[in-house]
Amino acid sequence: MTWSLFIPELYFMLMIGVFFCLAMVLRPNPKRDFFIALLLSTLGVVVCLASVKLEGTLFYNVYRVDLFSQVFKVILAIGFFLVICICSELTGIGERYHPEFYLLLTTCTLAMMLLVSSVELLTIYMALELSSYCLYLLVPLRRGYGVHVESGIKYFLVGAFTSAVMLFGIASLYGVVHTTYVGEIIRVLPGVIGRPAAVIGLLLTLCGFLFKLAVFPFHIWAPDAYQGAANQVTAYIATASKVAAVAILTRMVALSSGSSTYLVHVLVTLSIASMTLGNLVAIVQKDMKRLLAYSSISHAGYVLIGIVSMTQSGYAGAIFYAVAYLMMKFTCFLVVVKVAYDGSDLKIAQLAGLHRRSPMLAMALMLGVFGLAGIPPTIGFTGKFLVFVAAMKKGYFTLVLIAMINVVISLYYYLQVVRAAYLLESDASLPPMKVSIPTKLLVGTLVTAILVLGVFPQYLLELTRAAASALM
Amino acid sequence: MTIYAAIFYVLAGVILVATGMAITRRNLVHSIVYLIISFFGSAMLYYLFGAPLLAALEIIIYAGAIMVLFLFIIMMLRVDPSSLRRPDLKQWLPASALGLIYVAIAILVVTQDPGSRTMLEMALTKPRVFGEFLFQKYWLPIEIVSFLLLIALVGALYLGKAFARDAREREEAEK
Amino acid sequence: MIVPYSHVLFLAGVLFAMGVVCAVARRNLIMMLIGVEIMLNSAGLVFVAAALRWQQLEGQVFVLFIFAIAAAEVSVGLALIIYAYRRTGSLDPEKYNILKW
Repeated sequence: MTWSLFIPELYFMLMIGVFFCLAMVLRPNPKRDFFIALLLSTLGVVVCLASVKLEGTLFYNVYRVDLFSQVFKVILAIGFFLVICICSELTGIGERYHPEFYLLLTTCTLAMMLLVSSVELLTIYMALELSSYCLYLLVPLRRGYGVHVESGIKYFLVGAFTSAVMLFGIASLYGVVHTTYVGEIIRVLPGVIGRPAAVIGLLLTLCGFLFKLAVFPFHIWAPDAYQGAANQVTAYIATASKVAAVAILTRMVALSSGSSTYLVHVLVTLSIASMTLGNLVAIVQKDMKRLLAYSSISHAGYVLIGIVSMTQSGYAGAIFYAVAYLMMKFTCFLVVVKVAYDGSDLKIAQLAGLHRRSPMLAMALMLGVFGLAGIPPTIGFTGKFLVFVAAMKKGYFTLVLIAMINVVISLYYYLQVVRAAYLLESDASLPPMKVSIPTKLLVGTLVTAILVLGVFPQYLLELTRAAASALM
Repeated sequence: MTIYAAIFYVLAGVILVATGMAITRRNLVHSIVYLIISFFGSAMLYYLFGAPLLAALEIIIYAGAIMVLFLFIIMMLRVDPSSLRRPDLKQWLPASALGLIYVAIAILVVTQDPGSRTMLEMALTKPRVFGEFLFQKYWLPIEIVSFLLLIALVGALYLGKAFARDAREREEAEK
Repeated sequence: MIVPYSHVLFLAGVLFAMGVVCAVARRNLIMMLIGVEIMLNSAGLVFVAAALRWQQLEGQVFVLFIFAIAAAEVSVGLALIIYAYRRTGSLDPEKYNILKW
């Protein structure tokens, strides 16, 4: 009965088949496509939830199903479902191409599910490539005469470059440790970590994941891709794909089990650089999606703090942070999608008067942004707290201090967004926005989750700890 | 020095020179031709290292299909060599710095690593053994690759039609 | 007896550096893609040599997958490049305003 372990992936493959047929055979019908996608993605969450307790290995041990991977599969399925929820008015993409959009989105989710379960370098690399290619193609899918082609090309070229670097890293790593299984590498690596080829191999391999997470030297694609892609695609890149990146980065860093000081130094430097740069550049941004892009660069830095502490509580903190990040970022993007209903880019100034036009969305935006800034009692505060405490326990005081200063800097631009939504009045008196009942429900759930999980994080914390313990 | 070592050094020289020429040519067609020579050299190295199947595939896929695709595109776009500006210092400086760092790392790795002094012994992988190994142990990656190629196909098809679509939409917008 | 593993590593390292130079110099989009191809090829060289060093087949399997990746990369990359070329009439990344803050 080993096949039952593979059910979530098989389900998503089935879904790909459905969209493939829709893309090929039938006439465009956005409403029908949306409802099919919504239905299938809801079922996807259910399937992933049902298979959370499974454990085992598949395909000559290249594929491991454990609590760590299953928790991440559920998170990914939820992220996918949430993004589908905001696709009811998919105005950023031509009607003819909606099935392709869903096809690429589903394939990307499948690739990330494969990614979090793979424990063999070739499988990891291939899954990573598959998810990247879906995203490269989703970016230029946008309608209209904007910057989407340029940002698509930039994203693709930076991605192809880092993937080649990563491949070279895997090659040198393989040359030292003579195995491609992650479990074996964990055993062999501490003995050979003193050799330059092993450290450099591991570092270059990590480049691929750091690119996915948009950490400092590999961040240059993020602002352009965020701005160039359709709003829904940006929401997906900013939420689900980041979660998968955190998962695989955690798994890979756990490889070295803290035995290399070089690796720690490099990761600490990257973490500091990426949060400082992200926060400082975010201050001058006028476009909401670009601002969110720089904010995700800085958040990648915070997540790295948890990962770099290389303890179980650090990994648990990173996973918790990823979940929190998904919810808060998604809430912000939900507001972006709803306010920019015609699928255009959203300037921060365009948020003016939002509290009058739609109090509910304004409140959601405020909570999401406060969460990102790390203000209690939101889940963002709890996430930051966990990560910082894990780093303090390892004695990284300077790192935590710099992160704290960064949090203060970031308050400035987050408050700018809130100010635009609450205090500024728009010149032209725009009509109140109509918010449909399902959207209201969605917003309500998200807001409740952000607050409740911020105040009572115990259950989620237990879950992330159990998931992290599956790693060690 | 054995005869195999001599072959290796000759091939290495050919590959390095051909690649060096390829990346410095201004005419893209010349670059591609030099690159094909370099890939032929790599194929020979694969053969020397006991991977005849990969050597054949390197020639068929890399030097054959991929490079011809490049040539085809260059011809189709009719890139005029004189229109390509000479790269200025601002571009070469970071690139060369990065390249030098990589070379320095390579030297470090080569000189500091005790394990890398192992001599490579001759061996030969029969394509049959290779295929059996591949389809037993790695069939999940093969499935992933099939998805990847499907996605690439969908993407190329979509992007090929995208330009006409944009023109049509612009017309509609003008109306 | 062919050569020490380190000599192959060195050759691949230099080849990789050439690929990096070609991709980072950003002369035009096609050359950047070619640079990435050179990098992939150098990684393949290391894999085959490592496979020979350990007398294992995994390294060779990797190379086969690199071919597939390269094919997908070139098809998607060139399709993107043609799309961009038709719209902007240029292959020069500088004209794309590609490194703005």
